[in-house]
Amino acid sequence: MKTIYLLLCLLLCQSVSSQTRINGLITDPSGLSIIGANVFIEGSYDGSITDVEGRFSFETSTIGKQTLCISYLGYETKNISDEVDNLTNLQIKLRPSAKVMDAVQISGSTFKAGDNSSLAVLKPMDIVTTAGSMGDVIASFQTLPGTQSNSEDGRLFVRGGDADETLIFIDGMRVFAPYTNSIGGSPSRGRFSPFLFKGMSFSTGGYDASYGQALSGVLDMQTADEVNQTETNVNLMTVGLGIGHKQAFGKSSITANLSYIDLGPYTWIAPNRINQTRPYHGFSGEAVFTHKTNKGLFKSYLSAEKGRIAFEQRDINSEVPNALDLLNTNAYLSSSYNHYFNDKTSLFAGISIGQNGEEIQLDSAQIAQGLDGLHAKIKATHFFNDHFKIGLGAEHIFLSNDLSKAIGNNELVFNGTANRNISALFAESAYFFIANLALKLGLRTEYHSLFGSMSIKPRMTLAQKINKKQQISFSFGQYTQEVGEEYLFGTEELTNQRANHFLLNYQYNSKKHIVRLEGFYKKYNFLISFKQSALASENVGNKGFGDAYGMDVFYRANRVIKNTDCWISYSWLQSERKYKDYPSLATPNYATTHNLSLVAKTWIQALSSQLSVTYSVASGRPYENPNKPGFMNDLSKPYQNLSLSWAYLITPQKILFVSVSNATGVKNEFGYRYANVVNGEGIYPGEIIRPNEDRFFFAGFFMTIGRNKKSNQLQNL
Amino acid sequence: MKQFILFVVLFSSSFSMHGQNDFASGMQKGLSLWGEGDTAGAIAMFERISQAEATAWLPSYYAANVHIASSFTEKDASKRDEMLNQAKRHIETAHQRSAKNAEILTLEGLLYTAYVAADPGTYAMKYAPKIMELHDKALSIDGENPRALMNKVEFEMGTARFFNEDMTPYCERIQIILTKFDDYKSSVPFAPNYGKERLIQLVENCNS
Repeated sequence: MKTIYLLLCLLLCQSVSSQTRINGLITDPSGLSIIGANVFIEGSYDGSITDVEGRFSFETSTIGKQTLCISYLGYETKNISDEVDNLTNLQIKLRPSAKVMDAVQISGSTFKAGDNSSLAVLKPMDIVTTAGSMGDVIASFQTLPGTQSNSEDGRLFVRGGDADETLIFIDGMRVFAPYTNSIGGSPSRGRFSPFLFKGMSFSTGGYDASYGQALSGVLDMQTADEVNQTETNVNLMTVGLGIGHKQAFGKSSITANLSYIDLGPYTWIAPNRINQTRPYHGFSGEAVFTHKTNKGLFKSYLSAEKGRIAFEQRDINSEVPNALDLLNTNAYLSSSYNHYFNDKTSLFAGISIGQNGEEIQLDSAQIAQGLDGLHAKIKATHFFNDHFKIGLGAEHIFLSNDLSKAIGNNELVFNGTANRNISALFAESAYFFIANLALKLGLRTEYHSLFGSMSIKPRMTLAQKINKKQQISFSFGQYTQEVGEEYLFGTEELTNQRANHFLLNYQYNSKKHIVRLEGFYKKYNFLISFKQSALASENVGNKGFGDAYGMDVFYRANRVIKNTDCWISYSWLQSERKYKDYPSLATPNYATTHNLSLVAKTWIQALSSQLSVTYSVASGRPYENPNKPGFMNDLSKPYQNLSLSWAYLITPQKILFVSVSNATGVKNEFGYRYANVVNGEGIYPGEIIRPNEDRFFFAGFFMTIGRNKKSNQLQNL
Repeated sequence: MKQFILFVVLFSSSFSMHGQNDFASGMQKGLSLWGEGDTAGAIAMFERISQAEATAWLPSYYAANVHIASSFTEKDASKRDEMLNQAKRHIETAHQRSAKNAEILTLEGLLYTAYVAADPGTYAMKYAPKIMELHDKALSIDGENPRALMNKVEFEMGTARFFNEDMTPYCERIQIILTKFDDYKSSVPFAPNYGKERLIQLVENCNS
């Protein structure tokens, strides 16, 4: 037996002697040792991990030229090819990878919603469970800083900009008519149901060169990539009913929703300030189709809507109210494909088409407005290494607006069409000097066919990470946007409106606390200007200008209090402009100086319920009082709104949701409307502009019929 | 005799580069490092085997498994997210090397369960359907797999507890699964065979 051992030992010793020892030291660029890095000979089992001093040492039986791999989380993998005999006493420095989560973020002014845990300020559930949002994507974004609450309008107003200065995109493709139409005094809503989207990014300034034709803000929403399980949802609401279905088959999936909304019964029970002869009613449908290829993802989003509303509009200048009847039809399709050639190079191609029609009957006059839009975009992105990336793209937008007005028996008084093509090329490059410091440069050149103008606009962001949780960034960008379509029917020579953004941003991100501070300055030029006469707008031009500056504050606490999430947004805004028919520089009616939102939601296990509270306050809205000298010379009462919602999980598949906005019934005002002529006492009589209804109640019952009994609808609320 | 086998193993492993024995001793080394609590060493070992054996799914499976198991006790949120990211990457590799594998699908279910455990507010509603789907998929391939059965029932118990439901039917199911652990045999060397201890713990929770 001993001889066998001896023999074995001899053989073993012999084989050990043919091994080569590989050793060395691994550090980061500053010389600090890296502990736990995996060091090995490629293609073999031979290797080890570095010890507490960053040292490694192991033996290999490989011979000749080999590749030594050093990999460590958060650092670029390093490969060294050499004769194994030379791989001794190595001194290797690893560079931090710019791709890791902790790297500096170069999207300063963007608020993200979704599951990107380190960046998202809103979680997917927040969109739908924020009290007062009533499931409207847009309304939930209005609880973030940088927005001015215009609750009688409902659209997104960003940092002193008009609502049409913020564009909405789906998967990077433009949406042409994102809002439902509404009657004056009632907010319009976004047309999209939030649970078809996996994430949203909302930028209140300084966005990159791939976005054009937006002066103030960009909201880009990403449709969900996949369906996890087959299920059918049924919703019964005080305002209508809906049905939805999700199905996955192989590498494809489809999600579709259909709903019928009728505000008739609600308005009958709770009449509001406007006499609605036929409250809003309409059908809408949405569908998302996804298909995974071996190296890419195809997505398509389709929506269609048809709705009608008829009401009587009182006007202080006329004895009898105006009878209005609005019919809206909307269809939209967006498709995109992302292809990943490898982990360095990817290609995006997308196209969206949209059609929106409004037929308005105003007493005996008929107005028809139409919009056809097309957007095509292609973009290639390449990572030269972990530190340098370039994106190149091209896009084309075609827009066609038509407008016709007729009185009585179809006697045409106006008929116009405005077609234009906007072509753009853009380039974006990001350079990470080190993981803590990054520079992003962008350039966008754009041609507008109607204006015959060519522009080249730069964008840049410089960001520095202070430590693991904090960073500061500075952004600058020049932006252009065409004038509103209503001014394009004439023959005047017009051009793009322009804005320059300057932003200074500070962020603190930890699991429990998120803080954002941002100061901004925005300079407007070439805004639309005209003189309003009794009949028409005259001298239409681009002589308008203005600026906006201010400070945004955001704080979010996640589960600092047990089972409770809450956030606070505050915006301070100073904005003045001379545009449209303004006789002098003035703060527009929609730009409120102070905006504060408090949102809190808590889960109460004993009641199987989620309670949510939103409290919003805004300072008064400027308006013009003709009984005093000057323009925009008065301020309305401050705005207040306390909204509450309650979601009760009866069983995992059945949810009851009740919500009330402006629970305390504060009588909010948005300014005054005055008569055109003075009364007997020599003053212009006026009336307060108020929302159509002070309070709004909503109740819904949501049920899931799924193969899987454990799924539920809480995510759909 | 044991010493003799050890000698032979060491001896032969010093010869061959990619032999079965090499694989076996590598896997054994990785598992014993894990057993000793050296998770970094275990993961590094499994990663080395994974890159040397381009068709083996088990090394990636175990690398992911170590990451997921350690994530449950990791307090630092960003480290935990990075661990789960790495686990996801290894699971993808494992899927590529062995399609329609009930063990890998079960592990993927556990990965998303780890996300839910880490941050229920963000992930519970988002991943619950996915977790159920993965367990169902695993069971449609291998209906007797005790780990798939156990993880499925454990996740359902969590949901049931959340809704204050009666736990009795779940406890009854656990008892049945317990017997399946003894019956389940895999012919693949190093195939996962853990989980029984966990199940016994669940049974005890039911009884207390």
